[in-house]
Amino acid sequence: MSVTGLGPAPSMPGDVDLVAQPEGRQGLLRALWHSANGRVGLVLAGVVVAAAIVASFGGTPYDPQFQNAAALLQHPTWSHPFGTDQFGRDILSLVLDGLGVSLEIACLAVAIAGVIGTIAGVVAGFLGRWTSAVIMRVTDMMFAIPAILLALIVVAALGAGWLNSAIAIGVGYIPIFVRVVRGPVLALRESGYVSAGRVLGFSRRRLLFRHILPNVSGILAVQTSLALAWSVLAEASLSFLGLGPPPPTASLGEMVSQAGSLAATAWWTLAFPSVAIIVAVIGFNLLGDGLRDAIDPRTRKR
Amino acid sequence: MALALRTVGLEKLYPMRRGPGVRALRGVSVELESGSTLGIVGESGCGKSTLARLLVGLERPSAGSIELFDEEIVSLRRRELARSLQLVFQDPYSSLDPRLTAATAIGEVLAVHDLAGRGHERESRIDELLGMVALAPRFAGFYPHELSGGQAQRVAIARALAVEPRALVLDEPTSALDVSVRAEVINLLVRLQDELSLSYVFISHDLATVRHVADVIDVMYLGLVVESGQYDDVLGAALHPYTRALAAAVPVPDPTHGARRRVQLAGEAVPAPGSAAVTSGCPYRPRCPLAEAECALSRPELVEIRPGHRVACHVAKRDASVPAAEQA
Repeated sequence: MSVTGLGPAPSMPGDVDLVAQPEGRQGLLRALWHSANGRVGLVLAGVVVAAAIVASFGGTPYDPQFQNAAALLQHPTWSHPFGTDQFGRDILSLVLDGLGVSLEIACLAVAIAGVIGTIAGVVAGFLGRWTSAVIMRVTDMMFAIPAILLALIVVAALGAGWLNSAIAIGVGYIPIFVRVVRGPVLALRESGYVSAGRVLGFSRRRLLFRHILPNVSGILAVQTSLALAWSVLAEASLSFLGLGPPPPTASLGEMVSQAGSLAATAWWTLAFPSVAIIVAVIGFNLLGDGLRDAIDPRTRKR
Repeated sequence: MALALRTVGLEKLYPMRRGPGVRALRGVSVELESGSTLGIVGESGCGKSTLARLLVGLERPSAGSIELFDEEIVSLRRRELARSLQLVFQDPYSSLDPRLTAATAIGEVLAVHDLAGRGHERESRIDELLGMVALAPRFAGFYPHELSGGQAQRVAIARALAVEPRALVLDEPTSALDVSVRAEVINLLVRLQDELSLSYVFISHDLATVRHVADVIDVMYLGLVVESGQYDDVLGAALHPYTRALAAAVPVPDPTHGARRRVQLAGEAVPAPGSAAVTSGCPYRPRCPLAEAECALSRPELVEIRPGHRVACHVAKRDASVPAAEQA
């Protein structure tokens, strides 16, 4: 697990077809299941989300913070499948708890980025030239600063913590949502059925909410999944750097950071938190890819 | 006869960052008599679709005015304009929202304009509208991609009729359709015109299509009307060399008819903005077999040569003024 993973923001799915195919949810799920990426992504993301939900409701095998002085740095055994750390805490319980915290932060971050980015993108695409120019120049400025740097600045300004991590990560992802949404909205605004709606006397609000937004929802779904992957990684990186939620909140990034010096003698302290991060990131990325394939009729295999 | 639609000196300039911009319309005056059909013919880039967009209010003219049933359309609110004038687009698949069934698309229009109540009342009105375009009620639940091109275009027509308009602008309504269903849609439009006493502006690049519907034909070239008249006059006794070229391109479905004299058009249909053909003289001059010195000097005005038959051509005007020179 390296910090550089946080650096470049993931690429935008620019060539997703503008118009979602009206095949209904069942058709979409089936198409998702039929693409290899989608199937693996769905399973991995499902496992991660299930684990996080279980942990959030206290369903971990042990109390994650319980320090068993009689079981320091134990190998993986049947009673501690992921082993124990230098304080005698059960690593499986810590990993599950950490996943829960990670996903909570990631979801909040994606919600912040998604809502603000989508609104800004829709406004930039649908409203006049000046509004659009202002929004896009601000977006460009945010793009010019690497997302991790932006997140570091926000955390440095607001201080470390659960909510501040989410804000920091969310702000870093806003410009991607703006760009991803604005393009299709711009294209749809001039599309045949939006023109037809204008001729039929539909209000701008109706055109925007009934005809344009629903037709970019597929793109939003893809982007949300990719954003979740990036946010989990970003959260891990922030806490690796010691800028995540302070202890005793469990954190995968912090576990990886702490395990660095122990890894030579106790590999399990490093391996399991790292694998958890990797599974979550790959799961959401593949899910995003699968969704994109499922939505875009040109890449869909029949 | 009352006028359904009239434009006076309509101009549309699309500015460009550099250069003079594109003058899509350069002073177009057309008249549509109530209950009749005005055919607008011209090749790609002549401004006919721009004219359609201006008529329905999708864009504003740079100059000139549009009157709809004796009212300036700039004084009409968008919803009022929508109630009296509707547009049928070329491609039904792009003009219908892919996520809406035929019934939802038509129902939305009824809802927006507070027509036909709600619930059962609205449903029966939707069925009635589908019936008007000869679609069975079972098509109400179909999505655009489940419909054939002809069926989708009928849904688009039914949606336009939902507001009970008095006039329709038909922008190449059959060009995107299979040849086999074009006649069906044309016949449908003719029948609807009779039943609902609609006025049509029928835009096409194809004289052969327009001849079936139009009472009056205006031929457009590079943003100008170059010939205008009753369809017999324009098609049978074309005065403008461009109209003659168009007429000669209409295929004759009769193998014994023999080879007609074909008129080949040379050169580009749409010259670069700011080139001589657009700025001075007759716009058709670079491609015209009859071009003379005068054609480069001044732009010919649209003048009445015979009653109701107008042409913008120096040569045609001079020939017509010499009684001995009988036109073919």
